[in-house]
Amino acid sequence: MHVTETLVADVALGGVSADLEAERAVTELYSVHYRSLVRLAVMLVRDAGTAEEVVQESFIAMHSGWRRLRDSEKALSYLRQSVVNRSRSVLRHRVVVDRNAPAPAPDMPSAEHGAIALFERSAVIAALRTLPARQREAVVLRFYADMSEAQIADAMQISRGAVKSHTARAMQALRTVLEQAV
Amino acid sequence: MSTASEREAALRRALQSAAEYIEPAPGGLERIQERLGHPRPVLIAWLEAAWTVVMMRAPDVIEAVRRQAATVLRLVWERFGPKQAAGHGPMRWLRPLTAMSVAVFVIGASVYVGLESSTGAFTIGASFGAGGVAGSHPNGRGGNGGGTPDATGARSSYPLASNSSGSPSACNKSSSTPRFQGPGSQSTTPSTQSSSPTTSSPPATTPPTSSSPPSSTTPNPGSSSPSADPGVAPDAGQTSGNPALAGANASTGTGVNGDPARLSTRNASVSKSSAPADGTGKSRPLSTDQKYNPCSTPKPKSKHTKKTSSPSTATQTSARLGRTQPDGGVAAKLD
Repeated sequence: MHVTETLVADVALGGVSADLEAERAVTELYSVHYRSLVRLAVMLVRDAGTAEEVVQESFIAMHSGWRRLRDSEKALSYLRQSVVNRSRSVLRHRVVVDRNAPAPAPDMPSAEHGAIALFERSAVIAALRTLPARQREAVVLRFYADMSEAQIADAMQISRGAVKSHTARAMQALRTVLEQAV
Repeated sequence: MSTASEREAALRRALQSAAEYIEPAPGGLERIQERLGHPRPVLIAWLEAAWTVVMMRAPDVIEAVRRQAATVLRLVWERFGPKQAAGHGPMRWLRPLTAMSVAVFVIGASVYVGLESSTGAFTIGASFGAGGVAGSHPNGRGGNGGGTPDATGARSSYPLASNSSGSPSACNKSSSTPRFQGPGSQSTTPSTQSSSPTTSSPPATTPPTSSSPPSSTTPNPGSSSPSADPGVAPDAGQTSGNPALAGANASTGTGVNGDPARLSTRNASVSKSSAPADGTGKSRPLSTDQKYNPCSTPKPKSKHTKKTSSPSTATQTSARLGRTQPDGGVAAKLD
């Protein structure tokens, strides 16, 4: 009886402490990496609002799996991987929605239309939109997030050779596009 | 043309410069915390899960309980419920037979109790009617010999008080039938045989005063007959209708007017079995009376026989009769 109560108390206290630690880790990672993650998501999904939604959901997922992570580095890697995966899901869903959705009225631009328009004004960004998703992800993670091949491979859940391949193909395609633009 | 490193550096600057325009909206952390929310306690979550499981399984449990209850009720109905007319053999007659038996028993018991109670009431009423009512009736037994100081007449009207051999009530319970079989019947035989035309004489209605000399009394004991009494007593059928009593009453009704010697003589003549009175007025017990059960014989007879043997007692009883005979005055007038 006493042992049972002790175990229950320990579990309760451990649960409370784990929740507090997860909330503390969420707060710390948010203050350091939230902006970069949102920008990364914007490069992948091309939508600031959707990018924020993707990043917030990634933080919530990290909070739920904090007992399994127990490390800030692992948590950041988990966040990047989660953002990439959710961005893929958003892009897949968007493809279906864009296929059936009517064309927006020209007189009603969205709120992020200005920022996105400014973002898309760059020739590099315009050339980046022409790349396939895997190559775009690899280029963004490699040249924007300054991630190593191992980290990109972990985030994209592919091998390092595949990361090199996707990066090389993406650079060849960008060069072609930028040379044609120049 | 630039080398590959220059192209990579240019791409990196372009991406960085393009991303600098993007600023996340404020309140991202609050949104995350709101979406995280406060986790429900384990106990509440466990209770909710258990309740959900119970609610999911409740229909099955309820159905099982309903089926079991239906089965039990069906068995009980088959066991104790009314059976069909056919198909159960002699057992189907058990219930109606039991009901009929109970009904018959109840009716029989009720009838028995009712008869028992009514019989007791009739017995009591008969005892009172035979003794008290008839004796107090002016034309009853006492009426036959009421006007005389004869003890027989007095005793006939007071069967209860003068019974010296047993309890009056016990003797009164005897029916009128044994009166014909008692010793009185033997004693009335001579009187009936010696019935004379003095039957119209009214000594039966003479005043009960023992001291008053009866002017119309005849010393002949056979002057009185039982047939003479009915004229005086309308209800002589009860008392004087009895030959024995009538004879005795008639013979004593014309009594000896309180003379002990004559009375004893008359008693001796009336009843052969009666003991002759001695000169002292004391009566001796009769052997026949001793053998005879006073309760089984007409009480007035036995008492009459006994009392006639005692003049003093007869005098007392005649005096008592005089007090209780309301028609004593009428008898005196007739006299």
